[in-house]
Amino acid sequence: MLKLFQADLLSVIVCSYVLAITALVYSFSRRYMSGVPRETLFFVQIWLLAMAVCLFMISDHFVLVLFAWFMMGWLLSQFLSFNQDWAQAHIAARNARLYFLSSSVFLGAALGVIIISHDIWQISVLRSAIVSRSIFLGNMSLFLIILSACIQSALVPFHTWLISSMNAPTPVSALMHAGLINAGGLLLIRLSFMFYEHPYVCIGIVLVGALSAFIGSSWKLVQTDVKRSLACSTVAQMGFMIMQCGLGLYTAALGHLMLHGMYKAFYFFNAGSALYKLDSVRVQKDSASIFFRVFMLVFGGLLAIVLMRIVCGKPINMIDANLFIYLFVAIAGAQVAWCFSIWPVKRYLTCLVAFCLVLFLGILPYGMFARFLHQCLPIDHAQKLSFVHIFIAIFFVVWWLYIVSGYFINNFWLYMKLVNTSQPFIHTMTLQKRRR
Amino acid sequence: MSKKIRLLSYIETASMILTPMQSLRSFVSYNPLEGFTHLSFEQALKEARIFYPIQGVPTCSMGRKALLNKSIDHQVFEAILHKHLPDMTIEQVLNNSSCACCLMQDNQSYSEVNRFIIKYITLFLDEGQAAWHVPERHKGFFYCFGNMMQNDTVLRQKNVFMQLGESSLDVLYDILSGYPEENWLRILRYQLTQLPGWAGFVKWRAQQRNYQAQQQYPITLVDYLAARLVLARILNTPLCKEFANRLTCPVGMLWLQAWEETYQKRLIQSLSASSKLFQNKNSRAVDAQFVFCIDVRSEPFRRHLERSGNYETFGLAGFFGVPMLYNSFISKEYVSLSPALIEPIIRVKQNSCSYTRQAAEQYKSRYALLSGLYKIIKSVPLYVGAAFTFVEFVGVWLGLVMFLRTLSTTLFARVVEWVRIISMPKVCFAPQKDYTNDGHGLTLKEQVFYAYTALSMMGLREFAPTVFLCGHTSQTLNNPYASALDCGACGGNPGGVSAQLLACILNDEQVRVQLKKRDVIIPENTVFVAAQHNTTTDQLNILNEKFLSRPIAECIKQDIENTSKAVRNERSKNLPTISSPQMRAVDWAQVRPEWGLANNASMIIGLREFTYGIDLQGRVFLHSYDWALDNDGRLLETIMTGPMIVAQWINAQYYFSTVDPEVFSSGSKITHNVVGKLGVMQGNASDLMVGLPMQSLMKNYDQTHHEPLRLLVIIQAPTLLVEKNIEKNAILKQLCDNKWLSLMVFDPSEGKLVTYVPGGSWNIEENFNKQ
Repeated sequence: MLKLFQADLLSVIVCSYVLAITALVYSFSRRYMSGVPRETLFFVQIWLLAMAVCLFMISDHFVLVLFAWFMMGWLLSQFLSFNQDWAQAHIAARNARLYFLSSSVFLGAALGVIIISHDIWQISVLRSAIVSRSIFLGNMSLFLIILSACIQSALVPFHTWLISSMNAPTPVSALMHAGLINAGGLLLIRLSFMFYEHPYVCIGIVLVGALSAFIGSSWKLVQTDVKRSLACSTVAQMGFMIMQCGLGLYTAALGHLMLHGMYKAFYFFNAGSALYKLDSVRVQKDSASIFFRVFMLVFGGLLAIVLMRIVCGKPINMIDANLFIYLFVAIAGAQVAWCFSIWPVKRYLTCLVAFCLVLFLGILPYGMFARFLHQCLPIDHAQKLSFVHIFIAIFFVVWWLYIVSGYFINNFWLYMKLVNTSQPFIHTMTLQKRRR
Repeated sequence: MSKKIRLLSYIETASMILTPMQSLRSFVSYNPLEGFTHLSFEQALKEARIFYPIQGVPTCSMGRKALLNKSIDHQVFEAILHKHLPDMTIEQVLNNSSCACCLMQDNQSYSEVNRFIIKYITLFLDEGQAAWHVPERHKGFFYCFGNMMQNDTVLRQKNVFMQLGESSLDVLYDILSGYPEENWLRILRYQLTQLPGWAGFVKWRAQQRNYQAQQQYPITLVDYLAARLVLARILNTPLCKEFANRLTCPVGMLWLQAWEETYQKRLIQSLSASSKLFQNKNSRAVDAQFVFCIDVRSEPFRRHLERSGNYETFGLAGFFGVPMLYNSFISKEYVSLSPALIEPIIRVKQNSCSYTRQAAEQYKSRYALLSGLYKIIKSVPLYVGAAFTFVEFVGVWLGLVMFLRTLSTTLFARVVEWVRIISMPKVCFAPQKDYTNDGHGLTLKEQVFYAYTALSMMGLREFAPTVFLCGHTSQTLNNPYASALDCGACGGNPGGVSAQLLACILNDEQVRVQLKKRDVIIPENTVFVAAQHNTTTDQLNILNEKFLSRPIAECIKQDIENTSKAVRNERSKNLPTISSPQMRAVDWAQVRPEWGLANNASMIIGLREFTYGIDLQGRVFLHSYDWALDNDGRLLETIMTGPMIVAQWINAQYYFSTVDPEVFSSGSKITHNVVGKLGVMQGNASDLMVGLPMQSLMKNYDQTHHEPLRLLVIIQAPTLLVEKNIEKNAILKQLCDNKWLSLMVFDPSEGKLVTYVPGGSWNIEENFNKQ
């Protein structure tokens, strides 16, 4: 019998997440989009899109997978030109469609190679074949799959379609950044059995992801409009997620894509509030002594690690990639502490207590969520640490400290480089008044 | 040298046609064609079409719809059509779908310069969106521009036109001197109208002395123009192009005339009935008086309030005559609480009422604490490297907030309100009225002056035991255009503070003593109470409850409550979709929280008895005025040159945003992209959007809510007095003669209504009979 679908816990979790986000976007758009032309079509398309993602998560047969992948891209690019009489929106949609189409072609080619060489048509069959080592895949199909995922997740250098997608209505952006863009990561997670045995491929994925994470978050520093700033941040976060995939931390990647999705959807929905300026806080920049600040930095990092260890329960060992999770938790904790050390409260103790409380409130749900995913999805295959990994880790820490130190602000060359490389496609900018 | 000075004056002249565009944090309506008001309306449109692709009059489809739903009277339109286009029948107009409303498409050759300008200017003007700003921004725009260009690979190679450090005027002059001087003005005008939003913002900002960003990072129109010309030369594009000859629809102007005439006729008809209603009114001494802003949204509230009890209402510009720069304790910046016409000189600080001083201190420290916390959490993801795990820390919480906020708006609003109440002490804030040594506040002399002027302007001489001064504000969430719904007379800010200040002044014993000397006798037991009218939910919040400790207070409060309900009911009939006004105020997905000043059409200056009891449908600015107190016409002059002009600006802003949405409105909110914490762009990048968003004007994509009419002003005063003022003020004469507004005068002594005819004569309106 032809097996078309296969649902496991992973697909259930992802599908319920996608449906929840879609319901939210739908509810939001009911009010936000009222009175625009083709309103009903918009709502229909939202649900079609959600169904395409769900189909992708539950289908087992290659043809279905490819169809779902193609439909996601196609429907999304339809959304980008939702405003019919806006030439620039059409161009943005056309460009995005090209990207999605090539992504589909690459995925199709990868699956085609597998079909032709091994006559395997289902993911589940492929998995058991690979796990039992009865077949070996060539690097070609792995490469194509990773390429396809990178395009879908708008990794550098395939980011421009995402940065140019702001001609779409705000709820579409929310849906895109919370759901659709994650498909690249989902693809890697679903097909993770294909490459976790190949350390070089994994290191390649890590490098590609780290590059985006690094460049995207640097871009974000110089963006002056709220939506492009969010898009650059998404590029960075997608890079981080792909990097986690490359490290073999698939549940961490899954958790990241969901939590980041909610974060990003919130900020897109809230984009109208970006005018609000909080210039009221009298930050005492130099009042806190440098010793206190450094103390907070170290203390914050250590506290975050300890809390995470307790809540999440993952052992800390120095040999595998789980260390990366702790590294980034430590950086985040240290950063929060650093920001707290210039809080306009003069008493150190209050500052310390408040920081601990905030950190606890942050790590508690995150750690529990990570623990939950880790325990019910046995898909992690943490990579052994290599020199490349250590190099990347050191690089991130150094770059982070450089930014924290604030030495970068007079570097004009870097500034303009970041500005110029993060521009959208020229023809998707509305450079003159629209004409009737 | 003298040529450079001439160049400056050319720039000055060229920028006349540019409308200043203010930061969206306080939205101010301007007439988008303010620079053309020296021409007659039709001539101005013709002239403006050279620079902007506009129509300037209602489109045929708009007119047809209005004709069908009877907002244009069929007979009126037929008569006007017959008069101007005798060979066209009404059926032809209705069926002719292909009228010449299409405009020429300009080619895109010039957009390359626009692209670079948008890129550079957003980087320079940013007021806090980016974490990393242009290095050395304090050296001014032109310096940064040069620097940025040096680092732009494409431009650097071609740049032979300027060196770093040259002054913008020199560079501009160098480039322009290659052209005959008679072309300069044309070039400058063309350059300025290429991106009218950004250029308009630069123009506005360069004029602001109190604007913090401008003080720190200066930019001028000369800088802007020089940058444009340098780019144009580098990119090898012509500095100026032949302006396209644009076709217009011959019927357009007729739609407008018919529409205005229909409205005029209907308004006059209903006005005839008013004095009868006023005589039937209860003649008991009034329980309370209410002073509202002239804003059109006050009208329904006043009408219902008068119906609910024995109350009298007045209309006065919502800054209550005191133009001030206000500094609230949470901010370093001074906010201008005055109409754009007046430059405020009085600086006022926020203070708390004496009985809550302790709570205020607590409030301040709690505020600093919480906003600091908020700022910390906002600033963490800016740091590269820290953002990755940090978004996961906050993701769950934001997700929770997002779900609650979207799926159960009112419940979430209640939770927020509850949190606010338990975390913040209850404080009554008020402006610091008295003069202090650091230059804040008003001296006694000033206080008396402003009090006297305000009372005279609205003709208030007999005082009820309680007089409410009601400013107004709006309540919306997640709306970049929130300030467009606030009080226009307060420069697009909430008006409660101004009301508080005047109430404070009028409650002062010393001021009352001084006023007595000038024949204004305020009874001992009269109190002035400040209040704030929330125009989104139509609630009237009393700002200083302490003064309201009288037995009648409960009764008044009850009446206010009932009025709110009645006004809400009336208003919600007009709102599209079913959300209630209260829900709209707290809904972050709502793009039409209220209609704002949409549908404004006329202004009536006169006693309330002239308009008493008539349903004016929230379309009228009502300014109180008593000609009996105004022998020399001074007060009328102030009203005509102040509030009337502001009303005309608001009206023109709504008018042009509606008839030419492509140029003068900011388009649909659904693709807005807030830029630099100062305005919005459309989509990826665009000109800074000017005017009102489509959602403030349209019910849906093809049904307009705002009826585009030019302002009709009716003044209740002796004709001679009005005539004198028009002759005296060139601006007024321009507006009236050039048909930017139509003026009618109801002469109370003769009981006749006359219309002003351009040139200076008066036409008697036959079908108006006032008993």
